[in-house]
Amino acid sequence: MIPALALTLLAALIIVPLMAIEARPGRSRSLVWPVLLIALGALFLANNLRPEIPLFRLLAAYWPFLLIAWGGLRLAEVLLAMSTDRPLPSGRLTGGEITLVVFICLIGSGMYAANRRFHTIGIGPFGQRGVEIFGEQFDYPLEGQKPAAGVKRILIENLRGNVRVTGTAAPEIRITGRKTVRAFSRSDADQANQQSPLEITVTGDQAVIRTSQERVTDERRISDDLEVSVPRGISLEARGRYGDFDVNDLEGGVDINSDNAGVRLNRIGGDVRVDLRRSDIIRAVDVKGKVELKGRGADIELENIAGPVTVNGSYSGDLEFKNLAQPLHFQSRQTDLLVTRIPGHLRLDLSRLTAANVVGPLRLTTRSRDITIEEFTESLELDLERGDVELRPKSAQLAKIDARVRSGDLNLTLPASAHFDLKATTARGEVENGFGPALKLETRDHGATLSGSVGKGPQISLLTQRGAVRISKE
Amino acid sequence: MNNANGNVSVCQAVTGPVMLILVGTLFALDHFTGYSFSRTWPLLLIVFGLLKLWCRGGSR
Repeated sequence: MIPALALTLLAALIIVPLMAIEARPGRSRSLVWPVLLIALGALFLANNLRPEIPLFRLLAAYWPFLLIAWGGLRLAEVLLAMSTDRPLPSGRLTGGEITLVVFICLIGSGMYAANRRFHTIGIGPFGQRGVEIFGEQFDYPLEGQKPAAGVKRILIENLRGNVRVTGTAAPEIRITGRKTVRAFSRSDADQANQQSPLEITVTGDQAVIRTSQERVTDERRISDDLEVSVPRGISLEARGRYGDFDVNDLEGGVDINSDNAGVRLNRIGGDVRVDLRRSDIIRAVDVKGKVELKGRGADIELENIAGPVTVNGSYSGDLEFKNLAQPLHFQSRQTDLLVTRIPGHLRLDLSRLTAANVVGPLRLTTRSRDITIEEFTESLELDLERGDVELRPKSAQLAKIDARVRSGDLNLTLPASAHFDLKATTARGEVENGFGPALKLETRDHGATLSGSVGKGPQISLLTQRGAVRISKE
Repeated sequence: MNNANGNVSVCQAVTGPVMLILVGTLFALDHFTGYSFSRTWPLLLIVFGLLKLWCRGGSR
């Protein structure tokens, strides 16, 4: 999104002054403007038709050649005029042209700095991106096998590429797969292939599977997709930079560390630890141990987890938790959530939290979200800056509820037979009472307080600074 | 800047293009080698000065 905006801004900043300069009366008929316009048009057309081409990164690296081409064309015009004895074109840059040059330098330098911050630009005539775009793809089959009786831990080091690990009953490590090398020629690719052999080494109870991509100078050109069968009883540790991990049927633990990966885990007997700098999805189903997720990413799906779950980081997508037998602790920059058990489900995204059939004590502190929690048992403590809250306990056996909202409505629906001691306050807004005269309403300034006891029960405290409070009967 | 008969001299005609190429080259060096623009920019002054000297010499 940001590169697209930057490209559009760059296009506008270049094309508008170009047109203004070109429209000036008395301007000599130079080849430069039409050629530059055609080149720019072609670039943006390429960006629209083939969005996978990293145009922003290419422009960020190669924009100085725009100035060189501009100067070269003007120089070619001078030489052409000299050779045909026509009057020489003026070499002076007009005020508009100088402004344009300054703009191009400023924007180009800005793009370069932004790009360097997030990606490394290769050195050389085309750099690594050049190989990725202009190079050819060469594939090599991968195969490896080693007895692994007595191995308890396997380490997989694969910088780029997808890895699929499956636990089997056979006491051996068996690998099949494909290596992809992008290079300008077959001999380059062959050389890179030879420099990065697939290695399986077994030492004592530990095995290491290595794709050796780091031995090739420019390791970004190589990617290994591996299908690995391992003895079911092992623990797995995997490290990578870019590529997905898919792990199934292991009795031991799984530890994954990567810069950018999607992770899918199924039927894992031990603890799971996933540390990612970036991810599109982390999915774990049927895990017997604890689950610990760290880093940044988008979606998380956890289902049937027997151990405690800790999620710490920044996740921008949908987070879904189903059937967690032990506590969930979710911590991000804006949210801190602690739930004792989730027999049902809890779903969280950047604007909403919905939960049904959860067991407290439940504690949630967050900034801006609409919150719906249904069928909860045990105590609930909620601290919210902005958003509407809807609470519906599971049964008439209530526990303590404490909800504070700075701006938003608070809706609490209780079973008709519930017993409780209520104090519900809004500093600015109205209060609705569904429990009749047992609760007393006091209005003050722009707000109101509803308080009183219905039978003998736990304390329910609701407070909003701005918004309505509604207490209704099921 | 033009000659007495209104024609443009060669040095005047090439000044703009040469400066453009130089600016582009210095930024390219900045991006792809260790010579940063913050160190190489005085070359712009030197080349511009040399071009001006050439123009003065040519007009005499």
